[in-house]
Amino acid sequence: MAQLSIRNLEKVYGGAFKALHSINLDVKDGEFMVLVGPSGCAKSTTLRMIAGLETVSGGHISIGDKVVNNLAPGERGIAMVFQNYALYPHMKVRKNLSFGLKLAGEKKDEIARRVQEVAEVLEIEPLLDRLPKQLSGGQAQRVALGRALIKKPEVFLFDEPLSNLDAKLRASMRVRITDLHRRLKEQGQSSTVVYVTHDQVEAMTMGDRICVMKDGRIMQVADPETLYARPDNAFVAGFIGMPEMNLVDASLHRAEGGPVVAFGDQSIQFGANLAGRLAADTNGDVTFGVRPQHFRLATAGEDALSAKVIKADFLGHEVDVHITIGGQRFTVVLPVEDFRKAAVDGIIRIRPEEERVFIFDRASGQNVSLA
Amino acid sequence: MSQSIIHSDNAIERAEQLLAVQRRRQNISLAIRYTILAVVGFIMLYPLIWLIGASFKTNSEIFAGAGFMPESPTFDGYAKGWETSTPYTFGRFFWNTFLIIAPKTIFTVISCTAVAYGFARFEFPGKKILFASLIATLLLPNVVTRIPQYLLFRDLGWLDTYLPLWVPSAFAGDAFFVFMLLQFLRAIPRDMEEAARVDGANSFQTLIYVVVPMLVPAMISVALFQFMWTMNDFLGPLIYVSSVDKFPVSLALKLSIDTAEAFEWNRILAMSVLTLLPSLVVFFLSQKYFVEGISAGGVKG
Repeated sequence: MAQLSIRNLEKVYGGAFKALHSINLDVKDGEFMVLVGPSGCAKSTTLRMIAGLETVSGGHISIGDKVVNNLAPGERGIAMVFQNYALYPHMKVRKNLSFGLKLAGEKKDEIARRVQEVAEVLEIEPLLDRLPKQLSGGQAQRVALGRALIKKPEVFLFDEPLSNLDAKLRASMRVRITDLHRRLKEQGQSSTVVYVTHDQVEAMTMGDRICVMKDGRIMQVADPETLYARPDNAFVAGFIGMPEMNLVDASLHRAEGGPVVAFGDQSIQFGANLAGRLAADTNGDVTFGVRPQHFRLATAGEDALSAKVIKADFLGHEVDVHITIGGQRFTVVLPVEDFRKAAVDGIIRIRPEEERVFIFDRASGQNVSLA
Repeated sequence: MSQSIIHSDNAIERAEQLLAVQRRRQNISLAIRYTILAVVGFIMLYPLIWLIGASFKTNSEIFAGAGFMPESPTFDGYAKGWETSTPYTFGRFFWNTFLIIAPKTIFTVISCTAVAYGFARFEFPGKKILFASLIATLLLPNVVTRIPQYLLFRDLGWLDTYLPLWVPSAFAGDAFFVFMLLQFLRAIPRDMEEAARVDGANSFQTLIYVVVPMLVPAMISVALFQFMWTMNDFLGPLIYVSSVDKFPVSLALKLSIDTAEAFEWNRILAMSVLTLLPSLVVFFLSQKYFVEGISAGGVKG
């Protein structure tokens, strides 16, 4: 069993600056957990604390059944892949791979067998006798991956491992890592992963579950679909999804037939769906959220918002339309044909899809339309 | 066929003429620059060249002129100089020098690396004060500590041994080298060391297996500096070493001047040339390590 649990974990720097505010997180055995957030959200700090490279100021971390707070990194049953690969520059790839096993006192033939095994899996056999400086970025990252894999750790830790690679390589490494994870899981080996990234695409495509962090706090932990479809708060809503969700100031009041949301001089009435979801006391100033993809053109005579088109970015089959409604800026994604037909004198009439709109509390940012 | 203007014979000819003029100008300026460099270089090197030339002259010829070519080259200076006026040959003094240098250099490299690693990578109480005092000793003139040091070593009964020369270096006594290694260490990213810790290495194993290999060029520089400074050190041995059979070459050279007989300058010069050789050889052998990069390729960022 190699589940990882974090209880009330805190990190304080210099006695004053609190980088991590008492977080709780459980990573199940075999789960691929992604920590994602903007820079400075303490995701890397959290990872380094799990690894034992950073001291714990409060709370505890346990891997399996044992609390690891006071164990040296080498005794925690973890392996880590660093952003900068961190290969030992003076050792050949083979020695880089076997260094940890040698320190652990493994037998020579066992080491050789495992180096061979890992090299085959990662297709780095031809590189075994090269020095790190003779490797390309992708190759070096594969070796770094191999160095983690060879130890058969209980928990794998990844610290933005793909951010130094170009876009194409990154995509293929993403697939390789998830494949590896799946394969380890099928073989019944420990395959718990904690993966830190700032890239939401990596997070969404790789994670079984994603932990979104901001300013040393966890904003939401959920699987990718839930995170996208039911964000807990405005931060998660804005962070996940491309283009970004529209989050605008609006005022809401309840009317017969459904809640009415007003932006400046324009307003739109929603029906039973939103009314049913809204928290009981929601009224007045709110933050209105809807993803650019979740607009549709209004039919004639329907209650709709008339949007002034500022700029339209053609992206082939669809178009990102930047609009203003009642003085508030929105982005809307529409099929190219629809946009061409609908735009009259720089005005389009659109309606947000009621099932997909969110209302957030203006002050706290909490999603109040989840009930 | 349309005739292009660019390719007309006239134009090509003119272009080539221009090129030739440019090339000639370049050659001339190159010649001038090299001439100046050669002349200045020769002037700077002349004392050394003269020293080598004069070591092959007879004693009377040395003061006859400023030219460096000996009229009738003789190995007399080397042969007689090697014998010295003492019961020992110069070989003995070279051996003594080696006995001082080898432990001192090795101790320096080991102790300074350990101390620099400690300062660069660990947090411990009093680190700031300790580091400040280390740097303060850098600024302290050597002469200030000569007398207390002498008294200390005298009370320990270490006079006329090499211990006063070795022991300080075994405890990172040369703050300059600690500082030099520290600066070097600061430039090495910590990722590799962290990777080693995750791989299960303790601090000592990290130092030996990961830090030291990356630090080798700096350590060689330290060894080289210590070698040359010790080779040239006159005052240290002069103060602490009193019996002739323990003299290093720096003292032995002085010894030849001290003796009652008329100064045999050609012998002194010949032995000076020999004394220069080890430093030169060591320098040229280890030159490439000065240039060699350190962690190139290990980290990309």
